[in-house]
Amino acid sequence: MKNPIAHSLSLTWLAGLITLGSFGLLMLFLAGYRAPVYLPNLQAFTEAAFYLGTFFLVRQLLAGLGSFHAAEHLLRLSVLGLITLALLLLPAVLMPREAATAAPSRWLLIMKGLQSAFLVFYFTAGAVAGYQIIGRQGSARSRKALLLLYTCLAALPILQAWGLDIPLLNYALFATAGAAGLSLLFRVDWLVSLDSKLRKSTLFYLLALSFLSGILLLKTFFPELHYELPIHTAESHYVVLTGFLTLGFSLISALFLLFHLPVAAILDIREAEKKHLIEVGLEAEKTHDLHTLLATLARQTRSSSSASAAWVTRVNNESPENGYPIVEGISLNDIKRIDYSLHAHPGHFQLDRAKDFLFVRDLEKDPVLGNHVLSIRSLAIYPFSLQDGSEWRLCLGFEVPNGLNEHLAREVSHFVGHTRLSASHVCTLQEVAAKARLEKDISIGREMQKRLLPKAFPLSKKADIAADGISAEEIGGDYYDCHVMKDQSIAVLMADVSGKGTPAALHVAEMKGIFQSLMLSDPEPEEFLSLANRAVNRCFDKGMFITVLYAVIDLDKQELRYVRGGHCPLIHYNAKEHKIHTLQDDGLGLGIINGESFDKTLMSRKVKLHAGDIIVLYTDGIVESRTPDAFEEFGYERLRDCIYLNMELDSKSLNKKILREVQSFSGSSIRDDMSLMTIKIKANGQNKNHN
Amino acid sequence: MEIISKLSEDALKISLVGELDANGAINLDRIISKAIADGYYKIAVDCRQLEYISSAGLGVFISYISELKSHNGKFVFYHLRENVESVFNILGLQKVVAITHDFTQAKNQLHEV
Repeated sequence: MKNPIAHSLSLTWLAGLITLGSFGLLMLFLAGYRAPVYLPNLQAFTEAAFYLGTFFLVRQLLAGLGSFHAAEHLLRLSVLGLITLALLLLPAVLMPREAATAAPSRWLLIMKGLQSAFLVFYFTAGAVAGYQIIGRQGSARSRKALLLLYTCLAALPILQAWGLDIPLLNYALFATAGAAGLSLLFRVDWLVSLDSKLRKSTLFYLLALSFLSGILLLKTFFPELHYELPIHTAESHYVVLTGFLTLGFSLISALFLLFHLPVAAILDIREAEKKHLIEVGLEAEKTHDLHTLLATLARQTRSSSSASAAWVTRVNNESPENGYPIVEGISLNDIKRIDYSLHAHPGHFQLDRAKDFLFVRDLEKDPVLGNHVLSIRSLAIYPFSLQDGSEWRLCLGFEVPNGLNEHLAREVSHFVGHTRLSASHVCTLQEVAAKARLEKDISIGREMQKRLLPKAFPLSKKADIAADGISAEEIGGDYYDCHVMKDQSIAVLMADVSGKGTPAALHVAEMKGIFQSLMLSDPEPEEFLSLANRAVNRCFDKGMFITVLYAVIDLDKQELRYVRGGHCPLIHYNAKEHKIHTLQDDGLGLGIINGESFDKTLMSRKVKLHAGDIIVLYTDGIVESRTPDAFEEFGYERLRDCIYLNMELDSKSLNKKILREVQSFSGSSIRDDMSLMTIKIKANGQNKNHN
Repeated sequence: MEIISKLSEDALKISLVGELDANGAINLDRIISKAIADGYYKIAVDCRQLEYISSAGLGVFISYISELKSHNGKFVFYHLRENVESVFNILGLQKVVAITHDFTQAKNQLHEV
């Protein structure tokens, strides 16, 4: 009913008014009033109006109730039935038959009226409320059946009032209403979905209703009442039909519920498990916290097994002192005593192979636990392990010597299983969160590392300098820099710190400071490497080393001076000779041997430069890149070829070209950082110089 | 992966297998540090099955060079594959550790002081 409240209120009032009015008129008839000649059917009409008014009043009252609790309705109906029965029996008990048949006193008249009113009201309410309860949760089909039922109910008094009291039509209406009612009665969803706490009270109300309806129906057919009611109940089809509908509803529902009870007990366990699963799942999602999860396990198993105490402890096989006790309803001292006994007598508390728990009955008689005075009298132990390998134990303590039955034991086992599942989710979630944090750290590290590298290179009319690189998954240890010296020579540096990841990146940061301060004094290559090696030996851990290539490009003298400190050899394209050289001279990485021995290995090289020459510095990530099957390395040959074939490109484009080539060679597998610096000697630089 | 076998009172052979990356380096470090603690200062490293060595792997050997030297010991690497030898050469390691062709040469090198 989607009427606005005001509308539905006025309908209620209207139905109430009709009911009261027609009832008043019926009372007048009872008191001896006769219908006027021009309205011979007035009494029949009044009766019909009374039925219909009651019917709509009940419908309206039911619709007006916001919440819909079947049990509450059944309770109200039972009370109504009781009052009706009391009203019907009271006069017979109170006064002798003779007195009753004698001249009716005024109060007897009122009593008769009340009896009729309550009888009609009770049956109507029983039929309407009962089928409303069933039809409410039902499908469109059950709503149609409900509508059919109501139509038949309303049609009966109208037909009767009109004098169309045709037996065949009446039977048809009875049969239709009966069939509709019966079809509804087999919709038992509302009984199955009843809360376990309400199940018994509902059964009680339904039985009471069956009994009351039965008695009242009998009274209707065999009026032991020795006086006339205003309504001829036995002859009124409406009363008979509603009576039978009420009886049918209450009796069949009661019987169904009665037979359903044993099944319901099992359903309850399933329901509890489901609830636990959901609660544990929500808990896991909400808190990501193992402790909360285990506390939920203790609380739930305690409440559902009616144990007096429940606790979860972490099992430590080496010591009886078990950490992490989560306690419900028992003192820590008792837990300590029990834990100690369990630890001291592992053989005594051995699990059956077939069971996943141990139950100790009659703790007082137990040879081990009986020595302690405990607040519990039987104990169930459920050991379980979690995904991370930790061992745990759920204990349930009971105040009775035999607290655990088979059903409960299985239920608790399921709870433990659910908790283990959720705990593994929590572990996974924690791992994922930790990994996400780590990844974030790494990306920050990578960002920091990028900032260590120069963003722009000095613009020179004589040389075109550019650098580029690709980071591997991890933070790497590549570093390059460029510095314009006082005499306008350009010092370039390419370095690679051993190892990968955060330690390497931190060392890069450290080295940047050292390299930059050394470069400020415009050192020649030998001097630079000697000083840098001392610094590395001083600052770095043993086993940590750096390979460096430091080169000074003297554009005035048209020469390249460099020292290779264990780094990948420089590649030089000689434009004059049209040849490409890999300048692999002796050289040792920094941080491998100490200052003086190192200095002896140092040997600076000089190479003549020409306009159009190309110098390429790079890290081993490029030449050691491998094909996805790891079968072949990119190598020096390919790098040289790539430079040779693309020498007309400017430095920046050449770098890009080389990196693209390496990537297409190695596919997606980037094992190490790749860095690359290219210097092209410009033709006009030379011209200018000559001018 | 590493396979260790004793050669003499103070000499040991370590065979490296597969790739020696940062993870393998940690294990290798443990092995060498234990060998030195047990008094083995002459270590022959068989690289026949070593497919790749990372800078972290090299770092492990480098970190023990001076310690072995102070006990009259040394590393001798032998049977290096081409790519591994190239890594050694570029870094300049041939100046600080001995690199030989085969096991016989390596044994002779170990006992030269």
